[in-house]
Amino acid sequence: MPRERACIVVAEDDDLTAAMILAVLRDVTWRAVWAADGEAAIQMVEQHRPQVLVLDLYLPIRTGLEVLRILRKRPDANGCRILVLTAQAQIGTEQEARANGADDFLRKPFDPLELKARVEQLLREEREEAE
Amino acid sequence: MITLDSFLDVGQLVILIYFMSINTVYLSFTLIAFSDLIAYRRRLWRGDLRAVLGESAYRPISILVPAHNERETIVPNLRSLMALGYPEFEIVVINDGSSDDTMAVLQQAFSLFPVPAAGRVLIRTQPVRGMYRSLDHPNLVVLDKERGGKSDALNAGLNVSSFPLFCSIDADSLLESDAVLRVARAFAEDERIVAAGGIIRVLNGSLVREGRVVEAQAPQKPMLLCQSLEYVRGFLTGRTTLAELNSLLIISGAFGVFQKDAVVRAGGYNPDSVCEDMELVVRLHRKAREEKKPAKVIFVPDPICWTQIPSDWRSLLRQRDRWQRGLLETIWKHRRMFLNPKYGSVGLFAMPYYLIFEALGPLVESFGYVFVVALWYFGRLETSFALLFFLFAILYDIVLTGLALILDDLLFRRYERARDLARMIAASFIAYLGYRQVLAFTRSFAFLTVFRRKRHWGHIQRTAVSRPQLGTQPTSLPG
Amino acid sequence: MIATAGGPVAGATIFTVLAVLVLALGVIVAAVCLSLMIHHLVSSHRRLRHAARMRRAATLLAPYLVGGNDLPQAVGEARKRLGDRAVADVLRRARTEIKGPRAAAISEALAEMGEVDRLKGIAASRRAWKRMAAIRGLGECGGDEAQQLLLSAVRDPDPVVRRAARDGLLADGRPDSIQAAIGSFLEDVPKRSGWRREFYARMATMASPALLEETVAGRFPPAEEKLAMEALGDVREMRVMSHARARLSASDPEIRATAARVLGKLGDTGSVPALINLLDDSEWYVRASAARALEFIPVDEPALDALGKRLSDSVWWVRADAALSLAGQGEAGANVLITVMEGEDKYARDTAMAAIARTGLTPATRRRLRDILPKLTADPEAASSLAILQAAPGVLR
Repeated sequence: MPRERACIVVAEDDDLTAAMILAVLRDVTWRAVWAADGEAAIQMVEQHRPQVLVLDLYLPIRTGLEVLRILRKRPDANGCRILVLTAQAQIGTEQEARANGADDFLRKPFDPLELKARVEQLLREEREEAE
Repeated sequence: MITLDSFLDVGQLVILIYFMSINTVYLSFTLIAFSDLIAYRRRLWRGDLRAVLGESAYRPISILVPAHNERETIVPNLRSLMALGYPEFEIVVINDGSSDDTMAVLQQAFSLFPVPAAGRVLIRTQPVRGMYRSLDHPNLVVLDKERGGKSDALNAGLNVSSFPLFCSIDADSLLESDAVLRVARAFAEDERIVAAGGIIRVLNGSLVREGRVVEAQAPQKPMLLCQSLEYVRGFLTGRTTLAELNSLLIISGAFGVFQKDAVVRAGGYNPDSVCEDMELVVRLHRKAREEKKPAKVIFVPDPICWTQIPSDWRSLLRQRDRWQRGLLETIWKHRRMFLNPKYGSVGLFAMPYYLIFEALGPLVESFGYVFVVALWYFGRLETSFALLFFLFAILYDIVLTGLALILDDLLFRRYERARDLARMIAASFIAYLGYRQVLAFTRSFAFLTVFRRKRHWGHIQRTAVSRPQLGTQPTSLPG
Repeated sequence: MIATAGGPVAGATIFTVLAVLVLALGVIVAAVCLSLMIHHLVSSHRRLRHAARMRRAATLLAPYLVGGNDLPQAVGEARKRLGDRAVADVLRRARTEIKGPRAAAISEALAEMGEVDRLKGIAASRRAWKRMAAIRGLGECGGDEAQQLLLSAVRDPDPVVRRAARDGLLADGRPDSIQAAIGSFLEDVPKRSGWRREFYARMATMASPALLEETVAGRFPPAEEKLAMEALGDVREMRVMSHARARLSASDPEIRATAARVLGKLGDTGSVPALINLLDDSEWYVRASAARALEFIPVDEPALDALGKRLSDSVWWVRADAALSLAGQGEAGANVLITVMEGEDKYARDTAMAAIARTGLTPATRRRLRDILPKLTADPEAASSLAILQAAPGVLR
């Protein structure tokens, strides 16, 4: 799928941060959608079948980790690349995220250029795998 | 007739003096609370809480959830607890010999499997039948034990908890997602704190969705409104000030955070006491003074917990009776601290305050009503004067309640709709049309029943908050 | 009543006084209720309006915040349409979420629109809480002028203001800012207003190289060094490894224990021999920390043997940690556990049985386990542990 038509879901509860992430991603693809809580994130992934999910761990209703676990259990959502973007700085967080199926991990405060580069990398990986 | 006259005169004097002192105390509490809370809010910084998430400075916490026959509500409540925003915590559910299928429900919902019950027995409890962990949620522990009551269940939970702080909640308390964060921040800032409570709000009437309170609304039934008012006043102007004076003796059982070490050293919860939360806090104070270790019991003036209050009179009166008996029992048990300078502000101020104003208050109030009738009967009643006096007392109390409501609105903006605020204001007037009187008499009767040993949960009629499917309207609890 | 006891004149006076008081109270009640309602309505309206403006500002500005050169123009536009407050709030919040060159661009925008000057004015207030709020705001703004103000604020007489200034300096990240923050912190520590753990955690998150440098240079007293090392381990600052290795042989047992824990978190294979030594340390918490550290580091025989011996340690925590570590070592560890289960030490055997329920067993080890099952079944004292073992999924089934 050409990069411009890739679909990316952003799961983030803070509206300003979400707006900024979406702004970054609009450079990458024109199909970026926003989920403001864990439950909505799961629904959107099921509905849109994105190539990449940018996931914050601090989400209402269902935490980011729960979302991660639930999605990784479903076979159809397994092709989706998940980038965890979180303010939690403990070492255990990254280990736990990766152990639960995250493909990449980025801490907040984040550099928009870095985020863009990582997402593009994940899209490339996903495309190569699909081929 | 001389004796009767002097009796009536003395009676009036007593009532007058009591009335003036209690109202002066309440007024000073309100004023202190105002300055305190406003200063507290100014010190807060919006970024504080979000910064917390990125740090390991906050100690991990065990959330103890004692459960007895909670098959309706336990799973949704646990799910919302799991979504708490806190870096590291565990949830310890203690099934206290439920006679329904609470265990089976838990087993099914969380894929439990048994593990060896590992833990040192720090406090003796009723036998533990088994310990379980969840395959899906590594931070969930479930204990299955024989019936022992809430205190016993909490003690068993303490035995297996792994973290230095613990939080005791009711199975049907709904926590705000940053509740634990706010309270734990206080612990991180001051190492002397052994116990902390927060503001409990009334759940009845509010909109709940997926285990979260979406919008706070005032209940409609008058008796629920009157209770709501009591909560506002009690927490905002009562506990804040008492904590400031290091005289807080009650931390609500619906939500409290404690230092595990301090509680275990003090002997854990007392299974024989009617009001175990209060008794524990008093014991913590006592131990601290006796061991000469500085200990603080604080109140975190952030709204953090929602709980269901009794919606029928029977449960309400039973609850108030239990609280009153608990109060009397605790004061009596620790009477050695009373007016004893060895126990500092707790002995010299808190205990006398609780005894004279909280415990004896309803007695004097009931006596007052009876007394007026007696005066009338003996033809000594000056009707206009008495009426004026009543008006004075009622209006004074309403002013204090109104001030508490102002504080609540100023700082916490509890109700979005003006209509809810209007209801609360109306309730402060209506409360005098029977609510207060009934409560005063009930609490007075507690003096007679205080020596009755009762060891069960004091069940209130709980209505299951049905969890709607996604996309449907949020539900309100009856209220 | 008392009123009449004093005579009719006194009675009338008291009555009038009471009546006046009641009237006054009535007025006060009305005033209270009215002001409550009015305040509620007014502040609701204000709050909703501000929130709406902030939302719109966020939508308008988001694309310019994360890239491009048009931020100043966009800010100007937004200010005209939505007012300064909403725009400044959005910019400040954004700056706390972003780092790198974009963050600098946002700081410039804030300075240009006068937000830094406004906060500077408030920072000179006589009220400590106002100063604190202003300093927090300056910390959020970032930039050179803000930094200058923060540097002077670390000497503020009020501890809360100092703390806010330190946080702002840590966020700034420049070497002189960090130095000033640490200096101020160390001065405050003895005054019990240091908020120690939080400071280390914040420092580790925002400025770990500097924290590392200070730790290695020995600038912190022992009690502080523990916290500093712990914080560095938590954010996985790899370069603290050599320092931690050296500290494994410190004279203070708590430092030894901390160093062991940190090395475990970092997964340092080079420290395994030293950690094995620590398994025989005189202090139980050092032994426990060393045992636990080995959970995350893949080890071979010497370490596995040493851990196996710890299953008979006199202190329960050490046994438990050793068992958990072995459980985390995969097949090799599982084999050690099974060997212990065959042994004579009953408590060690029970500990091993508890731990093995947590491992993922290979077919070979599962076979071994099944082989020793008869012996375990025959021993009545092993009954409870055995029942749990049999119930655990994936172990025997």
